[in-house]
Amino acid sequence: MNAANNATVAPVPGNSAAEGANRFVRLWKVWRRKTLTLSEGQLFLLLAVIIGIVSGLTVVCFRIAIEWTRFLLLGSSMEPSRLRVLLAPTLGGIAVALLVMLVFKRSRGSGVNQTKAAVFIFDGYVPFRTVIGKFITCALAIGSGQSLGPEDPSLQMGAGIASALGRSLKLSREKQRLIAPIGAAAGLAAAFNAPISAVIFVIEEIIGTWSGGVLGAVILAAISSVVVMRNFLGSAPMFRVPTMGFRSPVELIGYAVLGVVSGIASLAFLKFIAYFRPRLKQLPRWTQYIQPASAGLLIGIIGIWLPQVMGSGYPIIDQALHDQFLWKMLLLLGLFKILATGISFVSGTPGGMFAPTLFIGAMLGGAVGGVEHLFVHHPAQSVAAFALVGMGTFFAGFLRVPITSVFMVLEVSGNYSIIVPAIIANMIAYFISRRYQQVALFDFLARQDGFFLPSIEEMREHTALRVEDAMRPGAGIVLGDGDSAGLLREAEASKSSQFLVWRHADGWRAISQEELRQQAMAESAGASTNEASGRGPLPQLYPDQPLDEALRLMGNWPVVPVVNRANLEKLEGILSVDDILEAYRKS
Amino acid sequence: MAEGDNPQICGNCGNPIPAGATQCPKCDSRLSLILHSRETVLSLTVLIVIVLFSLTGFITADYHRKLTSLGKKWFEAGEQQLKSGNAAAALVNFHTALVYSPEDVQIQFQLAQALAAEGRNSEARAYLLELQARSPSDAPINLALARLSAGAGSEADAVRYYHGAIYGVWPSEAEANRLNTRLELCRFLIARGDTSIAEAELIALASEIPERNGASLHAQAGELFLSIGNAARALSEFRSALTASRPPKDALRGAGLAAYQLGEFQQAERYLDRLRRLGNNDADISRALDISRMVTSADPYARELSEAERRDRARRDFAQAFGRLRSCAQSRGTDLFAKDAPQSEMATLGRQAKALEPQLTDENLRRHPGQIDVAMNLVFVTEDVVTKECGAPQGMDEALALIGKFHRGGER
Repeated sequence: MNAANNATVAPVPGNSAAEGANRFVRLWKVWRRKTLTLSEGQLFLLLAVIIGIVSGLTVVCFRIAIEWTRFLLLGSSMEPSRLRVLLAPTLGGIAVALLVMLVFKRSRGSGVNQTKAAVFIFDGYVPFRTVIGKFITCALAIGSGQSLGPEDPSLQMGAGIASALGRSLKLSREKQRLIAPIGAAAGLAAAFNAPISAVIFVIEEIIGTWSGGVLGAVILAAISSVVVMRNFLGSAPMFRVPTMGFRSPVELIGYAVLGVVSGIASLAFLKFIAYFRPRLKQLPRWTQYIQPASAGLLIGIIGIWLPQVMGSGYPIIDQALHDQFLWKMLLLLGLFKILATGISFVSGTPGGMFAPTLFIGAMLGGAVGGVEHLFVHHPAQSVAAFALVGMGTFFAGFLRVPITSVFMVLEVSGNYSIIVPAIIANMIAYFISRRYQQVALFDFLARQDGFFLPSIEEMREHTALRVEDAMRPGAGIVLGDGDSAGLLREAEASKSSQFLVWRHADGWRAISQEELRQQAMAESAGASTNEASGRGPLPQLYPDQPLDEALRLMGNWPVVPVVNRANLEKLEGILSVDDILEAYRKS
Repeated sequence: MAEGDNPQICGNCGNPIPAGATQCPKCDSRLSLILHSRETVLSLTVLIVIVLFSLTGFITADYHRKLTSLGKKWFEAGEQQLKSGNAAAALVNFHTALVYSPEDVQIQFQLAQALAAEGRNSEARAYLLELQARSPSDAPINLALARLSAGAGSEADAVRYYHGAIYGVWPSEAEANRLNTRLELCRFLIARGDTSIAEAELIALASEIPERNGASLHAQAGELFLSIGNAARALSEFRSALTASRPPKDALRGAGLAAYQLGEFQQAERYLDRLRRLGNNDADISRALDISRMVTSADPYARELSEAERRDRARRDFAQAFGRLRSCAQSRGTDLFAKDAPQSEMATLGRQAKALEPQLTDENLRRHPGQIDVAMNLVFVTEDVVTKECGAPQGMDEALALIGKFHRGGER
């Protein structure tokens, strides 16, 4: 019956079905928009988790790829045969060079800088091809024994994955710029198995500021990636840290010496790279095909006597932390690792510097601890403590990330008693490195590659000017309460023509001598007696406010009062645009 | 981005626009039209993540299998090397095994053992301390640490770790391992000269030795009691050991010597005689047996002796001691009975002996049995004085000195 009625109502058969379908589609769209569609902020956080998961999976596969390559080329022994030690890095170098020169041209260089370039230059764009290239070439290079680490490539792979996902989801330009550091944090956290250090590194070295908009996403991504990585590879740290502690304040002398030694060593390492890298890059193009292989051969020669310097060296750090080497051997390993890593890196072999940095730091730290042990008979654990602090110290001196280095020591060891020695040694190493090598590693690498990325170190050390740096304290004449005639007499007694008045109703106001005179004349002509009001209310500034903020607040007022935060009636000084410009000129 | 061109980025999708192109090829592509919705892209991403997750699961499972097999391979190689006494090669193998199984406690423990075998005690200690921090009640780890501390002469640490091992958790044969560990602790303390603590530990040990299969431990505890001079407890332990169906060889020897030290010469003779009959011709044992026999044949205070035998023994002992006194005086060129002989202890004893000698007839002693004590006291004093003047007694004189020692000790 209903159907018959409908048939009579609907003149054209089939239209009702089409309308029903259209209505359903409209309803579906409305429902989807209301319930399923995420705001960009929500999407950004969700994406951070996805980036973390994908980065974690990638880093797991990357680490396994490195290990399989090592089994294949060097074997499972910690002391491979001489033939393998010589051939594996050399042949690996040839293969890596061919891949980098012919297939994955962007796989060269520092992942940190490429991520920074993505943030500051390319609107968050990191080509996905770089991810594949880094994966293959770095696995081959590190697995064949080149003295490089997996962290920097992991960081870049994370950034590349994040960038690709961001592009796929058509994020806004602002969000797309921020997505690469999120991936970088995820990649680094999974590679290091240390989410806090990774977050701090990305903030300290890539983004440069503690931006609330990105911090939550960075943390989410880092934690997600570490959870994924631990799910597959276990929660064991990169190296097992023995029980240790800071026992006596006298030990601080030893840690200070460690700071000096690490500072000098990191300086030497930086100078080595700064000197040789541009020179090798300037050689004819064909030499770039053989540079990684030559580096591999040299490392193989070193590896015949010291196989410990090959690869990332995490097992050797573990042994050093367990007091398995005498101090002379530790010193030797530290020095030759500097040489081996320097050769690998300047030859253009793709790979990171984090693991070698930790290796060198641990060896130098252990050596200093061993020497200290000869003079002061601390328990054996103190040598391990020196090795652990040494890792952070060399990290601080070489990569110039002092906050990350301290947190890394804490996160890796889970031991807070070591924090005081770590801070002292790190700061000494950092200051030595900073004093004698003005430009930090990542900055000069970027400049050698033709990019002038903002120096996070300089940004960090840059002190913002504040109102108190520009204001004229004690200047500005404040007129009290009373009728205009009284205030005019007060004003005429001073040499100034502009005055400030405080009115409880609406704060500070500006008034000139002329305005006072006119108001006094009007009052004497019979107008009602009022308080002199002047112009205003004026914006009020505080001494601790940044100058750029003050400039925005000043508007067109020639002079504004600087007042005390606890007592708004109390004038600390006055500020004009000329004062601000003068302060900037002086700085 | 290290080298190469600097691409122009599409404001819509964020992809690079090739040089010369006016529009972004990615935005114009068919794929881009299909994937224009974020929901679609997100759904696809989640699908890809699931696939990647599964794939990584397979890869890591295979990787872990490989690591486990490598860890096992290098661990077994290390164990073989360690058993064959090649600790240096074992070390390399254990280190390699640890790279593949870093959390394996067994590998770390064996590595520490290999390091200790190589004399690299501080390195071994570092590993063991880490293991101990993770499982403080692990008895084998505590024992290994105790041995390292004992080797380093750190008594307080050693005792602490030995106690950790005694009261800790053993993976198997806990009771036997605890007893052996306490025995080792006792040996360490005795070697350090800390006999009072060692005695307390030995008493605790003796009380814990099980009745069944404890003969060897009883014998070892007896040896240690004997070494710190507690012959009574030593004899008790050796007796317990001897009750076993197959007593340890050392138990008989220990029991004989303990009984000898205690002055239980009849028992000592019995044990030592059995030992000699079993083929032990040790010089110390022979001497102790001979002395014990002499004591049992010369002691007038022995139980269950007839009065006649007691008198006879007293007279023989007196003659022996008096004879030794005269020999000693002669060897020193002194005439004990000369009128102008200088006043000395020996001369006084000589005069006393000469005066007593006629009274020691069998008849007189039968009538005055108290004279036996007078005679024997003079014998004991004579043996002491002659020992001071002419050196340690031999043979029967030694036996008389021992009878005197234990008789007077008993009186006191």
